[in-house]
Amino acid sequence: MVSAAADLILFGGPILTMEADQPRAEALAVAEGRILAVGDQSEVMALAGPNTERINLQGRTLLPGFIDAHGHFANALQVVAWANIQRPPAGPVSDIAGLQEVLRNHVAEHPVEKGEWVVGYGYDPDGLSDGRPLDKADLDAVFPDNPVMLIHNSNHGAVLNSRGLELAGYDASTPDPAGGVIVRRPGSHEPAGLVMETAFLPLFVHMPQPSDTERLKRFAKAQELYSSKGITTAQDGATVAGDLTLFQQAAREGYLQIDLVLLPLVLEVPGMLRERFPHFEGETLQLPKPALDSFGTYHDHLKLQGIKLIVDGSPQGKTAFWSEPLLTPGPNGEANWRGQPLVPPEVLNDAVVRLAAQGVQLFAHCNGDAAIAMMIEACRKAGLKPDQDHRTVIIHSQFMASGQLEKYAELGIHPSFFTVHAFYFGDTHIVNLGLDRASRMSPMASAILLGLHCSNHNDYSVTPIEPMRMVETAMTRRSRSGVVLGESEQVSAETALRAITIEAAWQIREESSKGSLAPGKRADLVILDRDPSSVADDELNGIAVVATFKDGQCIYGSATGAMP
Amino acid sequence: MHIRLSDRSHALTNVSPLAALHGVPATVVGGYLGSGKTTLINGWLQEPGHRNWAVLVNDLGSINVDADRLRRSNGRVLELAGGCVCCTLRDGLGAALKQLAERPEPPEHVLIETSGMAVPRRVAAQLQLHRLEVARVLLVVDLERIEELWYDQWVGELVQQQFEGVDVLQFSKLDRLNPVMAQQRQDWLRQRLEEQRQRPSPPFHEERQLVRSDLWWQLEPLARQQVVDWSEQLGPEVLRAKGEVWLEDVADGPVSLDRIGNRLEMPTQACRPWSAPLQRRGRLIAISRATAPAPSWPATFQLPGGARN
Repeated sequence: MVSAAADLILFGGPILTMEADQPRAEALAVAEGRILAVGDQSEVMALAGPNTERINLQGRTLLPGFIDAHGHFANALQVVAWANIQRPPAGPVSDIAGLQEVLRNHVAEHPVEKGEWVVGYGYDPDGLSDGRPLDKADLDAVFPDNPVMLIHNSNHGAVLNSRGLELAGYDASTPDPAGGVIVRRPGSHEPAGLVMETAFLPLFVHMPQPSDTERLKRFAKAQELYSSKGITTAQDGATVAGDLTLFQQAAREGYLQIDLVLLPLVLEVPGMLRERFPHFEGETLQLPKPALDSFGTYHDHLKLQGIKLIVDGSPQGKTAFWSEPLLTPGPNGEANWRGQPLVPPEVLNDAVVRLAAQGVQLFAHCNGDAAIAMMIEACRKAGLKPDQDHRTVIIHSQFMASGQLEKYAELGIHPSFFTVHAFYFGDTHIVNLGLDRASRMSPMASAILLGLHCSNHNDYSVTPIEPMRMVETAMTRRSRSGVVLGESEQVSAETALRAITIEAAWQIREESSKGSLAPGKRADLVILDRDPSSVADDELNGIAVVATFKDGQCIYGSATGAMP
Repeated sequence: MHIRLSDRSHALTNVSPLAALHGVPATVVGGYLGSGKTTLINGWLQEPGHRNWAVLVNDLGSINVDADRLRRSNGRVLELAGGCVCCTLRDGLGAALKQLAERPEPPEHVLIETSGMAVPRRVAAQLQLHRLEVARVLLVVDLERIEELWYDQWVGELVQQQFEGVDVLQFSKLDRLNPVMAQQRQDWLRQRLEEQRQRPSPPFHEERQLVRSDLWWQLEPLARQQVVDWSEQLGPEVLRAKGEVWLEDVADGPVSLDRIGNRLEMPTQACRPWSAPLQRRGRLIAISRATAPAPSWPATFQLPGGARN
């Protein structure tokens, strides 16, 4: 045991360490931003000095800070300026009058000029008690002079008011585009407000684009979205060139309070290199040495960890790539639709070989089993083996075919699962795939039996930042309507918690400094009001974060007991 | 005199960021990776008449963007950002169009070179929603590889879908096949396409230049027979004519028109209502061989007897 005095000692509640040989402890001491000791209360208390702050957890639960295994931090910089119109518990809206009230309050806090867009996110018609969906007239009543865009909770559509429809150029004469719909008022051609899929895409050019100065100002709020949920390491899991420049500036100027891990999108890498190494001439995807050296190390809370490849689309949008057709038509009405890859196999193989040979860690987005098969094949062709410790991660690994997890083990690939799909999209998956195939989603129990390192993610802003819903869905795999998708893949609370702590740390090569409570590790901590390993399943998502610590400093809430 | 402030501020603020591109003609050039799109487009960009055209390139499928090409083009070639819309909260095509719309001189024509993995008809549909005028959707086909790609286990279905709603097929690398082989492949492809959709396949174009396209706005209604007569006198150099016509016998909206080879499709019903009662007009596009002269249009052509219609 170390003899230095502790700055802080926490005791008096369950302490879940995520360490296999000592899963529970009575007290934890922090010195200089790191964990000094974890263990019996008497032993830890011996480290107290005259200036040590002692915090009695009063029965609350202490855990390592959560690690975002995959999500898009850049989206938080947009979303914090939008009105939250989600249904409870993620937001306050349960009827149309309440939604109008939220929008009124939003513009009171974020004033808009006449003609400027008002944007909200998380519209869910099923969450309205009015018995009808939102109509443009509901929004016109509040905003006659401003265009309004309320983004659907699928992120694949939005409700517009009359000004918004006018700007988009949608009226009774506009036909529905292939693969999209302009929802009409009953019995007429007149748009009702909701536009989905390909009819929604053109709206992105209207979305207000904040300047970099404005985005810098939003870093504090964006990070609070994470710290308020107990996350101390966030990810930007598909970084584009312009955002890399902004993140580097933010880090340099001290805007980062939590750690931020970047995975540059492979398509953006040539542009990033052109900007930073204008005279460098290399082969396809060859990185100059200083670029390679910049991976894996934090500078002012920011690090590049690997490169992101995208192999297919999303299962709920039916743009994932499966080996067998869906039971329902494709997004444009196609029969026998099984989705499509976004890159041809020869290109993927080439990218994996070239990047792996330079020692770059790869993170590949694959949702359908055919996309997963393409990535497995690319790794096999590149000669990847577990003993190289390359830690290639297949993000989502959502609908795996039998035998694919064994190939992961053989090649040293590890999955980052997305179990909240069971809740948000499980019922949709059952319609599209049938219960049997839908039940193969995120097979966490099988992966763990094979010894794979499994993380779990929210893929923010595809779904809200909800670590406890990740835990709940990894344990129950229950859909919104209550159907269980694959009972045999349910895992224990401990396993579910490991997936958002130590296993997530392992996937970004930080298991020796984060993800569990052990001496020498960073004092990244979260205090929850209840112990997730001992509450009923249906209470998990109601667990609240009391306080979050980064490197021993309280960055959210209050550790002394006052609830935020 | 009343100054209507509300209307004025409306005019100042409620303008689409793409307004400068509304009605600008657009060409979509699709084709699987390595089919030869870039070669065709680069050749065509050299022509002095195309100086004010803009080219948007999406290299999503090929990962490595040809940096030299972007540099040499003096800003005429723009790169489209990739990525999933719901992950990145951005739409690469829209963002690139916005960049074009912000230029002091909007382009005369926008050409999109799609990613090798894109279905060109879907890109065209997005351009239409952005209110550009889609003049033609071309698919570049490498006859040497098409049969193998058609049945490929990974990309076969995608390659087949790329043919959907294409106006003209443009063959590349014909010189790599002997003439007999080239003919066999064309016959094979025509059969596959007809099996797929039970209607004439798009016309084939073999010249090593992009086809020509001409656009005509119809501002007065015409008799149906006059349009039929016009269609019948078009020569073989016109590969395809399509669009919407304003007919005297259909009051409630424009009628769609599509002519492939000698076959004309022009239904008796309107294809949609008029946008506004005072904004009636027709619009036709003729796609012709690269070397063809400008085509005639229904309101101006001369019947063989010399009588002016």
